[in-house]
Amino acid sequence: MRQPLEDGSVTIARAAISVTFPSRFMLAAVMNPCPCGYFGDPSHECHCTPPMIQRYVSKISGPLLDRIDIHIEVPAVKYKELRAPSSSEDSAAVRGRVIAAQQKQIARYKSEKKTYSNAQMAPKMVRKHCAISADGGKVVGKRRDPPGAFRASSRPHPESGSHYRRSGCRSRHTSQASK
Amino acid sequence: MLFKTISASVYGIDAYPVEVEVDVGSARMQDFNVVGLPDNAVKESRERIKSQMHNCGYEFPHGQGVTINLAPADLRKEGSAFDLPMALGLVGCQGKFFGKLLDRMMFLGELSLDGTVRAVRGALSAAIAARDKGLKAVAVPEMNVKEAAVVDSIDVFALKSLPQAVDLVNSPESFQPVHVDARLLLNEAAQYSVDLRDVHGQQAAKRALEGACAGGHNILFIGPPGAGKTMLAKRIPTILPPMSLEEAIETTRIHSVAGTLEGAQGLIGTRPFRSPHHTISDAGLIGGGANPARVKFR
Repeated sequence: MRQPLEDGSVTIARAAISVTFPSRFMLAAVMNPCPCGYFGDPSHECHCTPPMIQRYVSKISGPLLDRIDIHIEVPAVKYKELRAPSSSEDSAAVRGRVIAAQQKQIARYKSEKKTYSNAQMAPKMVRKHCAISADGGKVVGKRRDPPGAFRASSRPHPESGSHYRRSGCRSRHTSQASK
Repeated sequence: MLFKTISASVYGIDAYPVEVEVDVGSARMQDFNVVGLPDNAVKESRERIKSQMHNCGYEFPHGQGVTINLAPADLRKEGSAFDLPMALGLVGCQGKFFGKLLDRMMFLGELSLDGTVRAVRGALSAAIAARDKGLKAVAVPEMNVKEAAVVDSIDVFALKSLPQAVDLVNSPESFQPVHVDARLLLNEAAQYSVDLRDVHGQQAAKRALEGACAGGHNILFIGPPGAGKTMLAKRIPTILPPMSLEEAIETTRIHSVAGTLEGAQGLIGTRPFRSPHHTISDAGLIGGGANPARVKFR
């Protein structure tokens, strides 16, 4: 997965030919927190030992996790909420905001080459467009957030290149982008 | 006697024009050779052509050597789309086109033994190649006409049978090119059967999802079974902007080459959402051989 996630293309080479296919996509990954799946769930008991959990989580390589910008916990939904008629927004409403945010990004990056979205920013552009405020810095510095919250990064090294992009800028530019 | 027609071969998701040169009388008497690195499907055309021509009322030149060259000779030719141009070349060698040349039109089509034209893969890419080469028109199987007609600046004709193709060459004025309104086709195709509202609660996850979609970020959902992680992921295409025509064409090309366009679908209007099993191998995800696979379109 690394080449497509990083380069946006896949090259398949065989004896006679080598073909490059476009491969730009948004990856949405889902995982359980442990082998039984219920670690942290208040209504189910998790029977996994810490070594089991560690072994399970370490199946996802660090480099792959590093290329996923946003890690978000999705806790079990309470029965009352499941039964209640849905009062949340429909896709069209959310899509409207996504479109508006994308148009802002197109305007923001019009002088940059081949950059149309925040996720495509090079580190230099991150420094230009995403200065961290004092409060933002406090959020980045925290290693753990309460469950269900928007987690900045599960890895240390907040000042290194790619983490700076993903951990430092996200909290600010995501809220910008969504406005 | 030499007769040339134009067709196309698929390479990855692109197509490149191929000259189908049919020569009758130069080779040894019983020979029937197809050269130009044809794959097995193309080689088998030789077996189909004799029945096709006979069943359509055309004479196959038995007893005269036939050589068919697919140029450029050093690129591999794949698929069954050469049946039609090869048969037309043989018909042309018998003088049935009254001196007309087939150098401004591209032909694609697999032929059944009774001469019916069958659908092919990669018709959209072939139409794009024909337009880029400056050809005036492209004639494709009826099942492929909608996808090919999306391409602008070129006439697209639908073919049902070999005799109809011969008529198209001899009296093109009695045929109407097929026109589609690409934008209308796209709007009709952009219908989703799911909605974000189907997911109850999960406001934080929905907010994160909105941010991911807005900024183009990859996202990882972590949670217990049944929390709604996969439901949320499946609804991502519904909150992304509608595909532009260019994006729809690129997506449709991939499906066309892979042979997964449904029915006579012209354009794919929904963003591809694929959910491979977690035990899939790297090769399964990327694709073995040079065919597009999961990471491209599945």
